[in-house]
Amino acid sequence: MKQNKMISLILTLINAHYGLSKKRVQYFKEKKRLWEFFLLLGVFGFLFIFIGPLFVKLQGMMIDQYRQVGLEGLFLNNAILITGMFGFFLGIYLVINEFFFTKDLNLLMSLPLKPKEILGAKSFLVMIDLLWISLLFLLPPLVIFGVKTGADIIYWITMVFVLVFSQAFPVIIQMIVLLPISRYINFGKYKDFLIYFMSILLVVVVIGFQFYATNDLAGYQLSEEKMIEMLSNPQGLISQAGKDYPPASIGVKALIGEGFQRVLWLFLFILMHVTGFYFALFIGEKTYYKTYLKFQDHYNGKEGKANQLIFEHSSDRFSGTDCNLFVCNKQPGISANI
Amino acid sequence: MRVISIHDFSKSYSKGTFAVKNISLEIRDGEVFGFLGPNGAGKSTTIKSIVGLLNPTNGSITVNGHDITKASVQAKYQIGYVPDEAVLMEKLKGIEYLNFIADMYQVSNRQRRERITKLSEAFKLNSDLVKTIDTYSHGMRQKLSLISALMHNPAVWILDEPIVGLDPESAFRLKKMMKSHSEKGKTVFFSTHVMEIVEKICDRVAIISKGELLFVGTVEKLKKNRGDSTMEEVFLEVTKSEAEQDDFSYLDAY
Repeated sequence: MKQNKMISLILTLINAHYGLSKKRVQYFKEKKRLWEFFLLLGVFGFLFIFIGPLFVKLQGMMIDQYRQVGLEGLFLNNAILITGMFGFFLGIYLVINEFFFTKDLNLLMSLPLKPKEILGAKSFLVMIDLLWISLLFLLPPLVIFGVKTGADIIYWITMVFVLVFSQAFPVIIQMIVLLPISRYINFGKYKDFLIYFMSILLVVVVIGFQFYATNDLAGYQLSEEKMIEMLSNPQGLISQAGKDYPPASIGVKALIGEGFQRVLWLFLFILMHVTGFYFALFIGEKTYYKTYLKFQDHYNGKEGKANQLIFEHSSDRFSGTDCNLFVCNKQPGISANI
Repeated sequence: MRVISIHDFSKSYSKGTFAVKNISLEIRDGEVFGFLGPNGAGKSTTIKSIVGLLNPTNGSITVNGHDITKASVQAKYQIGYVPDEAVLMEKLKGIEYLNFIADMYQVSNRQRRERITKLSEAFKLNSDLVKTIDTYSHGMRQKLSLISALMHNPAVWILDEPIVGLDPESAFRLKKMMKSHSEKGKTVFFSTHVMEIVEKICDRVAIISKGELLFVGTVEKLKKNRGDSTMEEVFLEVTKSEAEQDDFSYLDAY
């Protein structure tokens, strides 16, 4: 059945990424590895039945505590913030892997696709990957909050948008930072180094963020005037807490703000993400294509070098050194090309 | 009419070292064009540049009038490309993969149904299309790669060692398809190491060695210039191979 190019690309990438067809054949047609399927069901069932009620109770207690001091918005703010932070930490690896190390790039680049189409589909895939985090850490608090406070229809509609866009901001920032950098740093060449470097960088960023946020909030709380202002206007604290992560404060205002303003906040929330996404695509389009071709150069260049090495030693066939063997072993493709 | 036009094309992977140096080639419509050369000569680099997988360091490449770097999408619509190593989506079923490729080329339902049926029957892959690709043998992958490349009825076939991995019957059918495609005024550009195929189906050939073009012309002209030797002998002579002088007695020395 003929499908829209972009929809087909995204659905196929999702299918290939999660191995859906393979699992379907394995589980339901060949009846193989069924234990894996049931184990997964069992684990999720266990979590849902035994951990679920405890989690709901804890969340409910937290909401009550926040409500007692009129800061229920902070509960939602924290949920969005924590989910976003997870997205930042895990997303960085997913973005690098999806954009620079997956084999399907060789195939996609040979097809009549614009760089921004490939970029869009791949970033969508990263977002879906990260959405699992949102389903775990954001969806339950949002639902429990809605039920406990008897939220209206606008809350539930807004909730869907907040959930769907919850991982967009981290992915957008990562694309805006990583794709241009990749023009100067060959990620393909320094894969191992990059993983260590990024991990250290992330730890530094987390500590820095924690230090900044704690100091900022502590300073805010210590001021008597601001404490009074905070208690009389809880939105102020949300704005203050959320200024380090704008989607959180805007999202909260869209969820539980006052009157018609909520709709405007929701509009701003969507606009911010859509504009950010297009900007990330624009940056990626300007940098990614060349980066990918450079990555190809690296791969082909390495292959060429390895071939050259073999040719250099072809006159003395018994002088194969460890170095030769090492290079050959790293490039099994050479033998296939003979 | 010139279908593929390569003008002063060079490709360098590192400063000062050229994988391909200043080659110019014109491939016309209705032609089966063989691209020959030893391993590491620059064949795959040239082919990857024609299909837009590599950026030329110097020069330009156009396919049916579309510059591959400036109008890559339009150029790629003209091309059916089979790489030297089939790059497929392993966890998809064969039929899912073909449908995905058909979507990318905007092939109509009718055309894809017809072509998938006929091509998969020709390559004897029809019953395997419901299996996931990671269960395929090397030959089956090559067949799937071929079917996917030919499904949108491209004007230009660019095949990098397409015969590798195919069984004799499929190889024979592919040769027939290549010839039939050119007879309809379309173009086949392919690389191979099998001299017998070159002799049988190529209208013209180019020989590349160490990144430089050594010969462009018909097989007859090539053979005539070298005193009517076999294609294999001609190839070894043109590429200055020392294979004929090799002494392999050491193989049985112990």
